[in-house]
Amino acid sequence: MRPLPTIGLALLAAACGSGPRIGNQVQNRVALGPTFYSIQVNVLTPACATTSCHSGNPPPNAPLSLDADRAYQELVGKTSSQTPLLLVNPGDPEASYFLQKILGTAGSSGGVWTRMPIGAPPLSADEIDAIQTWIANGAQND
Amino acid sequence: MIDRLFRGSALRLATAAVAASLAAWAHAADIQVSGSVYVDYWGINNRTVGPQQPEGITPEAALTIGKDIHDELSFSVKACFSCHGIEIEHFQVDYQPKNWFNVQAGRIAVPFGDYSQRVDGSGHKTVSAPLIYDMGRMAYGSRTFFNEGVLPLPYVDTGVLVYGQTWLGSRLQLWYGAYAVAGLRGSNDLDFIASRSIYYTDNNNVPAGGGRATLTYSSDPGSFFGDISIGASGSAARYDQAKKLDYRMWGADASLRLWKVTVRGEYATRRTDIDPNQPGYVYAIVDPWFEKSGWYAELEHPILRWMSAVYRYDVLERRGVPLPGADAQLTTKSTIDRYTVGLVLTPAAALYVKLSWEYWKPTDFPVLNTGHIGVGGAF
Repeated sequence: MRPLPTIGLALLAAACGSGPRIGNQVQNRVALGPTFYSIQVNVLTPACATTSCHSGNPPPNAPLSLDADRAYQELVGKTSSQTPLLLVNPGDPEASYFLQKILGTAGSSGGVWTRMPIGAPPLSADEIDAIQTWIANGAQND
Repeated sequence: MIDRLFRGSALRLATAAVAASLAAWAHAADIQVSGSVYVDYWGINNRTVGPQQPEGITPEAALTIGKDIHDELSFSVKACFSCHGIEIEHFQVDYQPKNWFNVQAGRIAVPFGDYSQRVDGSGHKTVSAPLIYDMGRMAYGSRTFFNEGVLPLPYVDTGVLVYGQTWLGSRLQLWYGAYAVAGLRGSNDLDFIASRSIYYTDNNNVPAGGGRATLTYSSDPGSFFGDISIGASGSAARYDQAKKLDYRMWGADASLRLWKVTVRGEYATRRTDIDPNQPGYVYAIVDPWFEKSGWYAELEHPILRWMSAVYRYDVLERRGVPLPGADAQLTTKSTIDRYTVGLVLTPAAALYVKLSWEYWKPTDFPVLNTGHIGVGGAF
């Protein structure tokens, strides 16, 4: 056993990096649609539950956690801290402050005009439509 | 019309007066003031990709103010304006009692990789940063795609750096530095915007530790073989608020000057833990981490006294399960190759114009051609 070549090969293997082991595919990509699971995976997690914004318990810089384990209970049927409106009013998208924040119309109901996600491109029409339909359908935890 | 001309002249006069007053004040108070301005236009040929990237005109400006408090102690603050608005790039005191032992504390520029020494626009010939160190000017670099490279530079953080240099014989010089800083922040992957945002404190009370060392061989002035330098860097910490997820990264670099040609290359890699309890993974997770690594090789040489050329080949690879919410095209082994050629024109001492063309060849996304033109200056 020659230690130097062995150590060299080990270092080379480490340098090249074999990467993590990956299991089998367990589901298809979650398509965007009017279910809470789909909205969480496709919208809330990547666009809202970021470290500088709505992630953490409590988030360091924002009043609302939109992490996967907290988002539903913090959104549905809870009153906004900025207006008397509910954040998500099941069955009534127009009276849901969460949707108004995404659309940038919250100022019209006495809230804060700033559109969410702040400092980032607006959500796409498909994403907004999914959220609107999910609320109109009763905002189930589906 | 006359009114507009008058107002324009008045504004320029007022600006000149403020600048002159600042310069006079700085001179009287023995304060060093320096700065730079750079405006870049980035054009992307693929209109379906363009809207997802920060294409178009990007202005950047930096202002540094320094003051020597006494022979061994100085203070410096640097503010920048760019895509993120205004931010403090550093705010530090530097205690330099010996060549071999110095201490920097505050909001400091953390040394990682050779490029961290050349990150200012006037310090590198290409318009863009290498992919492994890119900060926000990267095709497919947004959060749902690659989420930037290995470590966006400059890496600025709050903490303490102990550094020094010593000669090993008459030609070999060793530079070394070790630091403890707040560390990068994130939740199920790093969040580089959060890491650079106020408050400049640690999110989890687990500081990052790391260091860098470089060894430089100094040749005789005018010789064909110029200075040769090699370096290594490393850093590790926990990045999430719950103190459960680690990142660890390291890199190696080398540069060499042959007559008037400079050749350099760097490798960097980062392993980042992911949260397997998040919903939405498409694959079963065996190893709860992903790896991002890459390298570049670069060659630059003068063409005329006021013109030089640069050529670079870049690779960035991400291996691991795509995160929930990632773009549908991102696979478990995704790579971007990039070819860059550029020219730098220096018509005046403190003025430079950069032109470059980049060919992007990703494995998972459409091929791109992009072009940059930028004008910058320093004072």
